[in-house]
Amino acid sequence: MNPSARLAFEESALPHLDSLYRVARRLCGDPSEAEDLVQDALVRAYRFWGGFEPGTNVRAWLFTILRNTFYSELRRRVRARAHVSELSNLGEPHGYTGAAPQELPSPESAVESKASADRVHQALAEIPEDYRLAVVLADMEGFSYKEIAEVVGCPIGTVMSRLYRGRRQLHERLKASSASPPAPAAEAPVSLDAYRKRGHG
Amino acid sequence: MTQRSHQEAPSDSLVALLQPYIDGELDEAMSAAALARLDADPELRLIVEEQRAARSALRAAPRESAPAGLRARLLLDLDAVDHERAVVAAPTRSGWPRARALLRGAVVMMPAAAAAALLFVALRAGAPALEADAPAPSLAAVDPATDDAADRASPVLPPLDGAPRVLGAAPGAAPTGVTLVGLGDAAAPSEVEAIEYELGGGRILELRRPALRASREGDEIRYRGDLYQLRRDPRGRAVVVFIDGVVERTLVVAALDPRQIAPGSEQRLLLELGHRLRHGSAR
Repeated sequence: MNPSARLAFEESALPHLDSLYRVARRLCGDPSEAEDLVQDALVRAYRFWGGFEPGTNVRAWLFTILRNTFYSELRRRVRARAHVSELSNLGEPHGYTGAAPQELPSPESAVESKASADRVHQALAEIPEDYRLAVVLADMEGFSYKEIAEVVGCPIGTVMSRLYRGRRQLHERLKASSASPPAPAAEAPVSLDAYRKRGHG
Repeated sequence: MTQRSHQEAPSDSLVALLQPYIDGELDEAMSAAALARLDADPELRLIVEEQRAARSALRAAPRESAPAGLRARLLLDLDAVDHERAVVAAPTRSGWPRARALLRGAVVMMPAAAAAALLFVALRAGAPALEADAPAPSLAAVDPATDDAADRASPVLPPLDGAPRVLGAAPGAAPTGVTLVGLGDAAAPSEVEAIEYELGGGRILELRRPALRASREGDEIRYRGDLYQLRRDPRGRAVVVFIDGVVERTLVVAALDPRQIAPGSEQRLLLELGHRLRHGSAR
């Protein structure tokens, strides 16, 4: 790739690195896996940079690649897990299941989980991925409905439905974790102009 | 208006009205219509409050930044992609310019080949048979199978008796001499530390990060009693990785002086540096 294309890619993609990492973190849970996911997604984006249409929404394009990379990796892991499961059924010595041992929460994480941010992240981790992605993109990263629809590849009506269900499940889990979520701030609905500006930021 | 239980999910059409109202994506007329609907239905008001509470909780959560080490690693990966493309693109030169270059090479090489043939004949006739040539230095100057690779010193080893010189050390920043074109001066402190050494005519980059995961890539060998992993990065550069307590240390050859370092001995150079870093004589 010529130096100007490289520069253009870096100028377009790297400002979204933090946002990509945050979303990857919510998708993967594990910080190292989130780093790997962002790295893989951006290298993939760089390989296909020639196919990006200038003037279109680069943020939505990058997050679409992030999402696709995440699901490719997830599918690969599911297949690997199924293979391990098949092997274990072939007759391992008793006691060995072939599955990775369950990780118990450490005392440190138990203490940390009392923190409000951890409660929110924990509650997020418990809701289905499709809902989680919609909620994280909308409420943590400020994506418009149109952008989310582009990233997840579904109609805007489905985005609204996922947001509704995702927030509702999140609210239930936060309530169940014994401390109620912060009281709803007296928010005035955002104006349509503000939304349009946000959507194309 | 029909009252519904709070557990009952609103219809799709209601969601299509409420969600954009909550997110401020309705125009004034639709927003007023939604508000009128809410005024008349306490159940709906409760739903809206819940949705807003969840959204506020998410917005209030602290915003993490990507580790600065991620940025540095990504830029190295982009370098590797550029390098890979340059290698693929190079042989595509074709046609007359290529044929002309071949002819030019043949013209230059013919006298040299003739001289070599004459020399060969003269030697065969008048001199005793040559000893078998020393093996050409291989890419892996270190045999992974040996228990102590240092005992198999290659004849092309660089002088390694001097202490490595640290050229630059900047937490989270790219070291000098490494192509990280997108890394600005304002790189945030990172859990990845990059250091550059000079040793035996080579410049070597070291990346340190917490040894969170056991990396099992490459060949594992024992050098002077310690374990190391040997591999090549996507650019074909020699890489040596070892765990030092809770730190994963990765050494990669950033540049070699061909006058001092013979091709194929870079892994040995990295292993020697690794040994000195491990045992505290490098810095």
